[in-house]
Amino acid sequence: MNALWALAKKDLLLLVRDKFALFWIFAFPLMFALFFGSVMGGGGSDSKGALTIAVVDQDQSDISRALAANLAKDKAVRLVRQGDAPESPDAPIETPSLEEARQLVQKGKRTAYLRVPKGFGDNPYAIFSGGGGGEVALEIGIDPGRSAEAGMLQGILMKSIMGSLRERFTNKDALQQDVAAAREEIASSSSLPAGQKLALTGLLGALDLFTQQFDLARLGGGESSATGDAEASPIKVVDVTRETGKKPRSAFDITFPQAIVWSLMSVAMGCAITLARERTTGTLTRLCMAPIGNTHLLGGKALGCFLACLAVMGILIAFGVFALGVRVGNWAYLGLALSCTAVCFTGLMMTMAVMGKTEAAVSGSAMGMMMPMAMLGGGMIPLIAMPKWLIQLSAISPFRWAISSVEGAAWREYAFSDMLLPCGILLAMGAAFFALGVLVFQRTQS
Amino acid sequence: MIQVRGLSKRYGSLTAVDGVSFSIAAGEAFGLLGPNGAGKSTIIHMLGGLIEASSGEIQIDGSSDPTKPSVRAQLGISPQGLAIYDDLTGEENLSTFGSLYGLSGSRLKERIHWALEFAGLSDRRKDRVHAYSGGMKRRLNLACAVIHDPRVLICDEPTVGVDPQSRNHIFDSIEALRKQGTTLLYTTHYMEEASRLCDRVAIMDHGKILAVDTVDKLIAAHGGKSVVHAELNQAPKPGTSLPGTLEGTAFKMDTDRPFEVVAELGRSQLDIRSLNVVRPDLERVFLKLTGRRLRDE
Repeated sequence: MNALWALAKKDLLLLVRDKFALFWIFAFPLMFALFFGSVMGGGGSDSKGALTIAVVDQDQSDISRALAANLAKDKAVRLVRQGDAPESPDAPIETPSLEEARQLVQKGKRTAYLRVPKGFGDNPYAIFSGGGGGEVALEIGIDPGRSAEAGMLQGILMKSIMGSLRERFTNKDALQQDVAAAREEIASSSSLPAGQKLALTGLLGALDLFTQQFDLARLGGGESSATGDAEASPIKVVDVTRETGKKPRSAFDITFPQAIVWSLMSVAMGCAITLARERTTGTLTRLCMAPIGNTHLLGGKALGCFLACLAVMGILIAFGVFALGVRVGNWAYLGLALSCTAVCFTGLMMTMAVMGKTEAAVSGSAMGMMMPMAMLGGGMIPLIAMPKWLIQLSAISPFRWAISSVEGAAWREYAFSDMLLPCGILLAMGAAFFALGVLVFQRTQS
Repeated sequence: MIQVRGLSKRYGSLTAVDGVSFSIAAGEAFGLLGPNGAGKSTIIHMLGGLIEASSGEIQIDGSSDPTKPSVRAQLGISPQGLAIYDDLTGEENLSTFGSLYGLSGSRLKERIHWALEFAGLSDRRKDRVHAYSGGMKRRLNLACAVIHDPRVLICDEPTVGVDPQSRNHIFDSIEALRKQGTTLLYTTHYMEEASRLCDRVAIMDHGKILAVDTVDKLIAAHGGKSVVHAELNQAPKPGTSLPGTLEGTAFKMDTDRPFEVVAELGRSQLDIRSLNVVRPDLERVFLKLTGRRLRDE
């Protein structure tokens, strides 16, 4: 065990210190995933970086329409327009029903929806009083995983509300209507003490006089500076988890498994080349004369490759999850998929290692072996975009099963029984390639 | 310790080693002296169990299977090529090879410390090998062979491409190991190395051992006589009696007693410009046995 670990550790150190190999193991696959992920739409439907919002206007009041119009002016938000010119600023904003809006969010076509409930326009100030009587003033429907976007949207919303109210405050007729309505409400109230009624009626009278004598439009010059304090506002955030439905949630869900197999290909090729390098530099002679035997020698090399594969996949997955929002449906299955994939690529490494006697020969042969497998197996064209006949043909490539198993654990919602096929094939291919490599190695050594 | 009988290795029609036999006693230093392609490295590869002999027998410490781990554990092999990892540090190289020979924990650390001292690389232990000089790499190559304290050290041309300082360091290191009782099998095509380090030397060419004995006995048997050369400023007068041959102003004489000849030349009142005595050596032995010079190959 000591010898096995010594050999594996030596190979890992050599791999980590090979800057050229590290580029192909980390930098290239990441560039691949990021580039194609971005080209294919990145993290979702809001490709321009703005939050695409569906507004469900159940109020249909001037206030609710003003709120939507103010929201549309914000560059951080995009409201989809109706008709043939959905991007035209003059076209009316789409008006989906609540159910339609919910589905749009579920399918990832909108980041969130905003529901303006009936009655919002009757008492827009309820936004500052906790909704009034437990009634929600506004509702945002968004996937709970998008907490950052939800917070941002609440801030934008508060800003738009303040903008709408400022317009109402600076509109003499609208404000006088509000004052008159408040006077009537105070007069008809049976719960208010007489003293308070008198004080409030006096205050409203002074406000009425103020609106008649001053040009209110002059008060509306500045930008509203609303705060997006979610705790203080009665904006309710509703859980609308995006539909998983065995579909990728973002383009990175597709490009990341591809990036992983590209990385593994580089790891396997790197490890294969080290065996050829050992042969040309003479270290293999020394290893073969050590009291360990070929089993330990090749086992150590395999262990090194296997651990390198796991480490590389772990780093890439961590980057995908934390930096790009790639989501993993089942971590246990992902662990299984990655382990089986590592076994398969370790086997491939062994075969590649004996495909030549020099580094150049192994490198060339390995490239010739791996590139067609990668292209056929979904390393370049995503499996999801392949025609049926090509998917059937891709069954001969370990890349296809590696991608399938990772996707199955990440977003295809594979059951354990579904995972068995790709994982079993990966293990079988790994064992076959490893056996072939060992056989050829032993024959060439003898 | 090591016994080799009728050992042969054939690659198709090429016979790399042809019926070689020799034995090495425990604690003895045995040299295989021959030009490149003589079959020295092939013999070492067969002793290390790396390649199988076509015929013949090898016995190492009583075992006839050199691939047995217990046999291999007794051997320390310093290959002709630099069998070390350039991208690892000296310490990491020693740790890797030490672990392969079953060393671990404090024993491994102790041996690494010893090996770095042995190779004179203690202050460069953390440097990667690609930053070492050629001589330092050679010393590390040797240190990796002895990290596990083997009973037999096999050195396959350990001084190829080495500067004089490192060569002397390697000689001193090997001599120190010999004093500790390590058995040595040393291949070289430098006669002075074989003369300095080896108790007995086998002269090899074309896969065969031509002669085996101590250096002195080989020279006595095959080296011939010493040669005295003298260059005179002017030819001696006619009728002058000289022990050797004279061609113009050049004097030459083969003799077993060169110093007596030099004394006689001094007494002859010849006007000598230069004097040179060439004693027989292994180079001469090889020339005599093969008709070729060692390093012409």
